[in-house]
Amino acid sequence: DGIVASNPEGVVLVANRASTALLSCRASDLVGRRFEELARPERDVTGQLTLSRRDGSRFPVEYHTSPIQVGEELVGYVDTFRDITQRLEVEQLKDQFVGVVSHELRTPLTSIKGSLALLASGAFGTFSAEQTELLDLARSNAERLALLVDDILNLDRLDAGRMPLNPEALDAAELADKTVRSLQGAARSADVLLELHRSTEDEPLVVWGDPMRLGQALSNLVGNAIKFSNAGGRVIVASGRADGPQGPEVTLAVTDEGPGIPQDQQEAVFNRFHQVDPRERGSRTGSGLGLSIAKGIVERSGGRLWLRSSVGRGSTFGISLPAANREK
Amino acid sequence: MGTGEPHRRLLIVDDEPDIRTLLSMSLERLGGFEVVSVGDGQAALDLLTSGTTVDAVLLDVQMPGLDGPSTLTKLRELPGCEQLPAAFLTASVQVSQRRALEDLPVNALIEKPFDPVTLPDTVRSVFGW
Repeated sequence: DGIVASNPEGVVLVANRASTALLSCRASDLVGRRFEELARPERDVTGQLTLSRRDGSRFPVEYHTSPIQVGEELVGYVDTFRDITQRLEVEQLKDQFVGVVSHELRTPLTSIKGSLALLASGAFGTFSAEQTELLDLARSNAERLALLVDDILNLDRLDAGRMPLNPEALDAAELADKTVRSLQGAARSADVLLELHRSTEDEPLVVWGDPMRLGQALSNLVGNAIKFSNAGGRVIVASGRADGPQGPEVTLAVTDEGPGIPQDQQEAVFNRFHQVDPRERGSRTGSGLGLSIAKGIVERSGGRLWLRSSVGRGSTFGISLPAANREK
Repeated sequence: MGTGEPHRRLLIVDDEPDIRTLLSMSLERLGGFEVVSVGDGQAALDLLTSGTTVDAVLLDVQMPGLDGPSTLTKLRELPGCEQLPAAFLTASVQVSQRRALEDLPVNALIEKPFDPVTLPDTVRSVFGW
């Protein structure tokens, strides 16, 4: 990293070897002048900060400024910067890769799902009971594969911060309602009672977020709760307000009466492909990605995903997001 | 399909042979349409300039050579095809990409993956048939 120390007026006092190397200049070109005179920081059309080398060529940087204070007095600044040309190239290659893989994986899946759907429609002949059973088996597994591909691609885009989020003012109680309604069918199939506890607040619980992505995160939590509930169990989705460490928050909590998660596993559950002990899991399957995707979405939305659970006492997974100002 | 309903001919443009098969089966067998399918944009333009008439075009977006949008632009320049009903078949999820497609002179976007069982109804509804 290039490191440059300057006085309160921005005049460079000391520059390390990396900084002069990155800027292709000598120390004497930097010291005694303001950093901006040589490096001429500018943002390009994408908003990326770039610096200029001595020969005029530009490169993209990650840049940090730290003011140095002794008591109340500002005595100077220490700035660090690094050349991220390679990192951006790698990210762009990854982007292209994901795009190609997405298309290449989804196309044969479309063909498989599509031809099975046409067969199942009966328009091309009717089938015996056994043939129908095999057809259903193929279809449900094709669906499973399609969801897994979606999950993996989502996760990869989240990783590189490339999942496009379209934030807007969002009513958390409405989101909870919509999610619960969309999962009632799954709950009924699993013989689980899925309940919405409506907020008792007069004011709508407004947060700033992407309704599709946060809906996805909440859906993942509710889906998990249903999956890990026993027949006849209850899953409760509740929305409300709370005071968070950094101000007022809106929370969405999903509580189940399932086996609970032991203390020593509560961090690991958010890891990718984490699978619960097969003895507990029984026939329940999943990609193991739902929680890490949900966590990624919630954190990128400025919130946190938390867990309260103990063995034999069920679990509560919660999403806490900063409450949007009413004036927004 | 009732009696007296006009017989519609659809032109399908998609570079994937299996997708063309699925689209044909869905639209012909389930939908009762007549289907002509080609594997690239240039073949579609050649077909239309050779005197074949169609009632609507379904265009895949991502194709090698002339992609969907380029094919559409050239198609609209052909005599008699300025108002030809057209729809894109697109897997695009990104809002910006979809908006860019919607800005083109196309009637509708049909999402991929499509459900071949309901596709004939979707086609009828987007073209107002």
